[in-house]
Amino acid sequence: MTSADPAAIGREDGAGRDEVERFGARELYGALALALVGAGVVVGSPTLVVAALVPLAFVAAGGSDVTPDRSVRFTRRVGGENDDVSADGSTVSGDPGDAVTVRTTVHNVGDGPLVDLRVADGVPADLPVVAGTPRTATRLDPGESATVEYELELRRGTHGFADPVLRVRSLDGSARRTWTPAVDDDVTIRCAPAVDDVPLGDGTNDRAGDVPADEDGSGVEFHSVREYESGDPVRSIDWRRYARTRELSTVEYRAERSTTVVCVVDVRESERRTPAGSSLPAAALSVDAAERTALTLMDAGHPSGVVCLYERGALSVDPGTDATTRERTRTLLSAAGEGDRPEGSIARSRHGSPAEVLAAALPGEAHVYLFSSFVDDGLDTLPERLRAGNHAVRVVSPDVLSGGTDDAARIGSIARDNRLARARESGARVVDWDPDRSLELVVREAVGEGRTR
Amino acid sequence: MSGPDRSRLPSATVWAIVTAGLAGTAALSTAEPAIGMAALAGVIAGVACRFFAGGHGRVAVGAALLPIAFAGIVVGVGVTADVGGWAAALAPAAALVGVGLASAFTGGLSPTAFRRTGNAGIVSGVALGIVAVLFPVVSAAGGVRVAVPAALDPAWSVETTGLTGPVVGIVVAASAVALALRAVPIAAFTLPHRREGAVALRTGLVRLIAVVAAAAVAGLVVATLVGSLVPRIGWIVDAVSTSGLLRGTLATTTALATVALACWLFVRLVWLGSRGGGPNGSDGNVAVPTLVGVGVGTTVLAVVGSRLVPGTVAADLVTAGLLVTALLSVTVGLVARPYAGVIGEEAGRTAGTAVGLGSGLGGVVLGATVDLGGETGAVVSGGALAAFCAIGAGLFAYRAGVYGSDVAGDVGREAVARDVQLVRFTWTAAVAGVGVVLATVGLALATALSPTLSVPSTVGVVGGLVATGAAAWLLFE
Repeated sequence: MTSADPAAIGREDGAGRDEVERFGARELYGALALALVGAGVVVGSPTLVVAALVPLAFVAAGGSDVTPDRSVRFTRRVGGENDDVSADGSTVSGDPGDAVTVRTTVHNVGDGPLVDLRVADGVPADLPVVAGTPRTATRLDPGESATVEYELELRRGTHGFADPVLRVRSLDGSARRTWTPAVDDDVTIRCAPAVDDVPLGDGTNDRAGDVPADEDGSGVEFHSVREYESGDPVRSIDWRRYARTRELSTVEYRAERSTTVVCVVDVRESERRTPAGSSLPAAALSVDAAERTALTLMDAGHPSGVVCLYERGALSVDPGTDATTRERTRTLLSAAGEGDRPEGSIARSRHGSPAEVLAAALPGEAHVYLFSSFVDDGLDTLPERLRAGNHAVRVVSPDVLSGGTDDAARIGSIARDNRLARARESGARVVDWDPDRSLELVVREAVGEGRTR
Repeated sequence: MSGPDRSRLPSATVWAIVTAGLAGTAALSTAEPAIGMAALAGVIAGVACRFFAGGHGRVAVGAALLPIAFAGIVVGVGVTADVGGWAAALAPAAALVGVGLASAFTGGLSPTAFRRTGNAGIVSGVALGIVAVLFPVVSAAGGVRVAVPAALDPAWSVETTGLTGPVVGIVVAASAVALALRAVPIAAFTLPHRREGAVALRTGLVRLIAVVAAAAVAGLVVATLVGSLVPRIGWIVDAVSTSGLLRGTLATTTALATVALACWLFVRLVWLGSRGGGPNGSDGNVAVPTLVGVGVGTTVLAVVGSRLVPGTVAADLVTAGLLVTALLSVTVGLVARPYAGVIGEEAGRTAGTAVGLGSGLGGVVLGATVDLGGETGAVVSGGALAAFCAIGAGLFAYRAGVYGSDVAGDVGREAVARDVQLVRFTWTAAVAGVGVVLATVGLALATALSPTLSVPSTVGVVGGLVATGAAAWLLFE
């Protein structure tokens, strides 16, 4: 008898798979019957000879060559009433760490019963099952349905379901059929929370803009009142106070400045490896975070650019807020996440060490958002150099080593902590980012409106 | 959440295999009720094997149960051997069924557990061999209470006078205890961070023993010298030099220390050959609990054996039983160790196959011993029906194991619905039942038609039945 491959039903062979396997159980029982007859003849025992009828019954019972029917409709529903997710057409969205319920239903649409139906839903590879099971073995009469319910924990990224695998076995166990059914209402799970606001804290420059600064100047928001000085504009005099006290005073308004921000993304080879215990490489997390940070800043009117650091150089998009800058930012980061370079000349290319190329790529007054996991010492001194260049520096560092349990991961984690501590000492604001936490919160922490660790 | 559990059988399958195993054992027990004891011993052996997958405490329990289970199988073989030579094979078959039942309930054995079982089998074989060698000597002397003093008589004979005996005894006993203490594997009793303290304690105890022994010897010498000068206290030296209690204590201490020294040296030897690991599940070293467990199990067997002699059983029979048990234990150990690298954790197939093989082989043995004597009624009462039932139960258990293993491998044991298993088992039981009924009716028919049924005529009957069945099947197909 052919043994079943334990992992076969979970294999991803793609849509259209339809295999029928037959098992030679009859040969085994036939041989057993012959052995009993032979033993009976040798020892002169009629009882043993007649005992051969018992395995022969199995030979006779396993004699059908019927191919098991595959008349099954497969339906999948993602998202339950109590789930904190939103559905938009064929896409279900949620935040990292949330659980989403998946209900898979198989319906026997054939005329005969399915005495042994096995179902393995194609769970997205990066999403762990936290409750229930995506598999079942059941029996279905014609018109009957069976539902499998399980919960997935959302993780950052876009996740599609793999092909489900169904298997039926005949009643006598002599044949089995395995196939991948068409899925009704297939959906994609998207876990990429939007960043509504990227606060800038005190990170403004001297250019006029629309970001309120913590100093007086021309603007619309009240800042303070001071004694009148000769030459103050007449419209700034507080006439109500003069009417009350007969003393001239001048109203100051909060100055409004603009901020140029450059998101520096570390996409070197060491960032593109997925460490043990992590589901995504650090580069993917950094690129995702940098893209949404930059685009949100552009929406708010702040000229923003991107610099992607490679092994021996960098590609950059100059700060701006226009549509071209947005498109180039997206294109550059999309390619950088894969470790590639974008086609065409959308980005400026520079060769040299990270410190050298950044010095050339950064505008003098730019604030730097540095996205790197610091899993190696390639950018060890970069925050210090940037601070020495009078740039405000925010480091957003995805912690991709926290899931590792082996000694190497622990040692790597300690070394990373030391690098981040050195960055903090240089004056940079550092956020140690657990990838399951909201990016918006992380960015708020980066600018000092939340806790840092 | 952990992944699907593919190593264990779905619960309904477990119960199906257990039911088949019990039916097969019941069928075999019709030849000799003691078969049930062999099956029970098999269950104990299977459970003991499972214990070897746990921590040190469970390993010790498993090691204690293992020789007891082997002894139960040997006793089962001995009892069934009285029925007939062929029948003696029923006990191992029933034991195999028992092992399969235990395996079905407890799940698969990891290679580590299998390897530990093999090691414990060898150790218990050696221990049982030593007990088997000593047993007739002790029995001939009239029991342990008589044999031990007799064996130690040269050392503590009160016939010997003078200081030489006590002084030599003190030196030898102190040396043995000091050596045993020095050989204690510290790691067996303490944690790594307390090692330094334990070593210091051990060294201190060794020094204390040396000082006490030296003081005792010096005291004896001084007392002798003083006694020769002051005759009034000379009785002290005489009392010491002729004390049977002192010499017996020293001899017993020496013997116990020597046994302890041998145990610690064994543990150290095993540790030196170990590749390390942890005690729970991983391939850790379990020499100490194995030794302790085997010691307990062997002692229990020796005590039970000595209780049976001479009232119930002859000493030679107990010695032979211990020797066979030792041989069985060593054989199982030697077979299990290399097999550990091959076996996976396919509990389902292993359990079903073990039950099927045991029940089937038992059925074949039972069938071979049936003598109908030309009476149709003997087909039912003479053991033929029991043989058919045992074979049918074996085939059912095998198929159930294969099915359970297959479905658990596909979707995990927790995801298998109960009804899908019941449908399969009902169908398999029906097929086995039809086979048993056909065989019984066929044999009864043949016996009725030809009371002195020959094998060729039986083959003809079977051929006719098969042809009838095949024709009916083709007709309905």
